Amino acid sequence: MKIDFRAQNDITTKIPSLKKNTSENTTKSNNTSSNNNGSKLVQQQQPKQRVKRTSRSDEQFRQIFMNTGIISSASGSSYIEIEQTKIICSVHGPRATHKTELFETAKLNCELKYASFSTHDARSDYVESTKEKDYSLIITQAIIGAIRLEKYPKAAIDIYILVLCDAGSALAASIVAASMALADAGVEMYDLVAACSSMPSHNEITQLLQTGELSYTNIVDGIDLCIDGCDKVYSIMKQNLIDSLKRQLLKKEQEQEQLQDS
Amino acid sequence: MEAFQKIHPLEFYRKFLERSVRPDGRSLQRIRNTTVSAGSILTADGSSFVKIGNTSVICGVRAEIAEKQQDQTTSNTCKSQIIVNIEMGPICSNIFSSTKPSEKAMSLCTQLNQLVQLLDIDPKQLYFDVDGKYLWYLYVDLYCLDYNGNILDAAIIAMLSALKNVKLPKGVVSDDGSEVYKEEDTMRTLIINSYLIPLSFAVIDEYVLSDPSLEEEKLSNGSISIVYNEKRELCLQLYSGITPLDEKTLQQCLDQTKQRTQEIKDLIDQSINDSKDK
Repeated sequence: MKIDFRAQNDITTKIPSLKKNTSENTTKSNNTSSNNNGSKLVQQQQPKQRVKRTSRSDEQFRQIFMNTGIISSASGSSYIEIEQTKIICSVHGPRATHKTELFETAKLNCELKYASFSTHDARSDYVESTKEKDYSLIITQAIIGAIRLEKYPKAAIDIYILVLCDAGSALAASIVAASMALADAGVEMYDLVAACSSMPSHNEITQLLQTGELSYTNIVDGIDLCIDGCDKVYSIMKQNLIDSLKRQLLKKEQEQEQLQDS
Repeated sequence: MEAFQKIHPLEFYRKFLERSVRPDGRSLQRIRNTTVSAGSILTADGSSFVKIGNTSVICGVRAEIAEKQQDQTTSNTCKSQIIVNIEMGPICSNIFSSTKPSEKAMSLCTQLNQLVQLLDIDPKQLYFDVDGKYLWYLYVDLYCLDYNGNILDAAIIAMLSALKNVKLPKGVVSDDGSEVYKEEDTMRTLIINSYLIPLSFAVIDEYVLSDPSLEEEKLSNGSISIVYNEKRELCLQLYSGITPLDEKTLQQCLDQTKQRTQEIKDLIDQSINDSKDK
């Protein structure tokens, strides 16, 4: 949490609106804020009004980049970039809890935060917003099925996610980031969770979220598209983890060689 | 060796320091590799990312407007129009909690707010319209992503390069003066001619270590932070510790900070130029 320095000068500020509300602007905002108003996971691919996307076709996915092990002080961390959407995630634990009661399984805490400059909306307050709380819960539900919680009795795993820049699909990207960070931390999992919340190699859907009014065919199409998308994301995730593991092993080997030399 | 490091960290460090080297292979004066990149966040009006070794800080600036207050005098400062905040949440290290701001963050925040006042910014640049009836307020928000020592240096560099990266739209006030709009076709860059060149040190016994890592900060019995501007005038000098500091050591630190001037200037300028090409 931050310290509010705005209280000192006691001035209420606002963001001025754009002068010309051209059609180009409305499509843009539709794309970027699809997380706020529409059905979160399905609607990204199927906008409500048939707005033709200019930069890519309706079924086309954006370029994805991810990386793991970037935060030195965390047990696991990941960074994901879907074009302009940028998310960083760190995992602490599994660590022992101070609670005296006995848990048979590990406790999973997830906390998502939007950076104050991550959206085009007015600056968010310093207290946790309902949206952040809601998303934290959704992410927990999406990944809890994949973790072997029974392996870590009396322990807690903390996941912290910071959305640096939200240009759509922040929730889906957060789930991918959380799952990658968990894998990086060495937490035992049945499978990786890919965004759109399905477990690809098990062919199980861990969570499905749909809000807003959609016709049945639209939903089915949307789900198909999601599963298809997940497969793609999954292969990237797997490749990325293998690469990072190889890098780590190579580094360890080199260190050992150096030690032997000296 | 690892066991020795864990049980007697200070003794472990002394063995290295006697030979004028640190466990990570650096000499005592060697500063970790510093990278600066600007303008990577689309939704912010100005942004930057700074990495010193493993310590990384991201900074974004949001511009908002407010009507000019009655009591606000027409002095030549843009005091209180730039508001700096730093957040050190649990994402960067598990020593921080997400519920209340840490003391470290609070003291950093005060220092950064003081330093930003020393920047040479023409107050006219922060006028929304031509006569300055409405003013721009810049909220500078820093997020620590990885906490590995020497956060002050990283935060100052990040703050400065994000502010230099700020682009403000042209402001339009409607004829009756009730509504305000912005025009994003014509953006102007905030011009800041001054620089801040920070360097921090940790004192362990009689050794002075530049750009300390988190472990070194923990073991130190004193820390020195120095900030110069581009004219080599002193902007901030801070010493806290349990042992008194002698003049010679301080002079050494001041000299070393001066030597870093060109490097930091080049890094910031380079990042701003790179962001323009994008």
